[in-house]
Amino acid sequence: MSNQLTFIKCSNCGKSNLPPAAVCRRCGSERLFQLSTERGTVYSYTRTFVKPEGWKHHFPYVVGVIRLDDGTLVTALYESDQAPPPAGEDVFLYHKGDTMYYGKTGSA
Amino acid sequence: MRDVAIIGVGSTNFGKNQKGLLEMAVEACQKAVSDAGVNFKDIQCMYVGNFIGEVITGQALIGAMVGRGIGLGPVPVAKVEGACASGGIALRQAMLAVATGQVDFALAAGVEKMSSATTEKVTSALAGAMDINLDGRVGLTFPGFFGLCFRAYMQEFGVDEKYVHSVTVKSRANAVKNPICYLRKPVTMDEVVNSYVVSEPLHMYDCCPISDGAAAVVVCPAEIAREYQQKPVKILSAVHTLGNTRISDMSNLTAFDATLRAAEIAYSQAGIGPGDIDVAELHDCFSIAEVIDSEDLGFFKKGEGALAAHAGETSINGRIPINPSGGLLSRGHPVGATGLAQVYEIVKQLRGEAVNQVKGAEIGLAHNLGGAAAVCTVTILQKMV
Repeated sequence: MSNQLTFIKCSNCGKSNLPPAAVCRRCGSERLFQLSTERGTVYSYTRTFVKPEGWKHHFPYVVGVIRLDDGTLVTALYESDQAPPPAGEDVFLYHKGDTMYYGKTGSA
Repeated sequence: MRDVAIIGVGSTNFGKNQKGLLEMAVEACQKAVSDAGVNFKDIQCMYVGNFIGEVITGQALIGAMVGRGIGLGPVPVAKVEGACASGGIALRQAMLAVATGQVDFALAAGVEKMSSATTEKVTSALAGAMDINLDGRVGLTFPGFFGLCFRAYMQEFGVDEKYVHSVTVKSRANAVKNPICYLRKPVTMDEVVNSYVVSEPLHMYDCCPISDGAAAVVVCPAEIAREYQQKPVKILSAVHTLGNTRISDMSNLTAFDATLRAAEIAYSQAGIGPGDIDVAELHDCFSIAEVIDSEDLGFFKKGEGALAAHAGETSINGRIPINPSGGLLSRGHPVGATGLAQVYEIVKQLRGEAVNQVKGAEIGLAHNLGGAAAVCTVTILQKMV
């Protein structure tokens, strides 16, 4: 599993921005700093049975929306054969290449 | 700024059409211009809504191509694009050209050709409206996005999925009488639930079908409208907002900021509230989208839209008839055309000429939503007496 994810965090309103963010995408503040995080809880997910052209990952595939501690939502793929964790479960986030994934905490 | 009225509307039938992109647009424009009692040479500018025309057919410069197809003179013509809100944007631009006094007659058209490509190709092309480095990179498509909203909605409000599926049952029942619609057979709840799962919990019948089509609208100053149309319709407000382009900028998936803000401004500009709307055509690309939209537009409290639909409040005889045309779910969603097809239906309703006529309709609303609620237009129309 590779590195933690880096977000552009706003000191003014607390939002975790994903780039590009010249100013905070929620409040417009320039008081930004980098923050790494790797955990959240499941907010929603869906298993998709119609793939876009050129889709190279597993299929059907599960896309989840993970809520970070500060409330920010992040989309990530779930690649395990196990049933995807339901809403409210703790998960960890990781990158493979330039794609974000999530997995059940404790299965790393 | 002067008041603007709609004096002509036109539409092709929606579905799998043998005609190409430009031919369909020309057909809709011919019908709208004829309905307005003017000639093509009277049109002083045109805006054409289209989203993936170039990607699917290879044809670019669509505004100019349609303009020459209907014999416009050396007038301003442009394609406008806001993904699925392209049609609503085209109408607003045409309205502004007249309202500001630049022109007296403007034409808004919308068209999309989608049946000529594979489902995978169309799915990818549409998914271009996602942020391709974030949501797009994890394979999020439109059914995926609304599948996520559907599950989030059920969890947050404790609503069983059948209440959301009931929207499809209602819309298909409306489509039976509407020759413009692609899908015109009624469906039962069982048939919806037994249809192929597209992206959980959305089944096939919860999703608008891939379709071709075009629609067009002619506008002019309200003060001269009666010289051209016995039943002119005034545009009380035409609002266009920017929302969120990525899930990581949203705080939840059960309400859309672009709609909330557009509705607030539109009602305020028109001097009315949601309770004054007699009939609405809103953006039901998926059954769950209709539920969320109906709440965001103020017709129901958050969490109650699906229950209300199931109880019949949004049927043609209900408290607030929603998508009496059959909506995107039955008509299909030829993206650039949808916003104008919605206005077509509202105008017919306010003229008393709709196939599923809402009794006494005087004020109508059209809501068009692009991307993952990235762009929204809300248009409020009133019968002129």
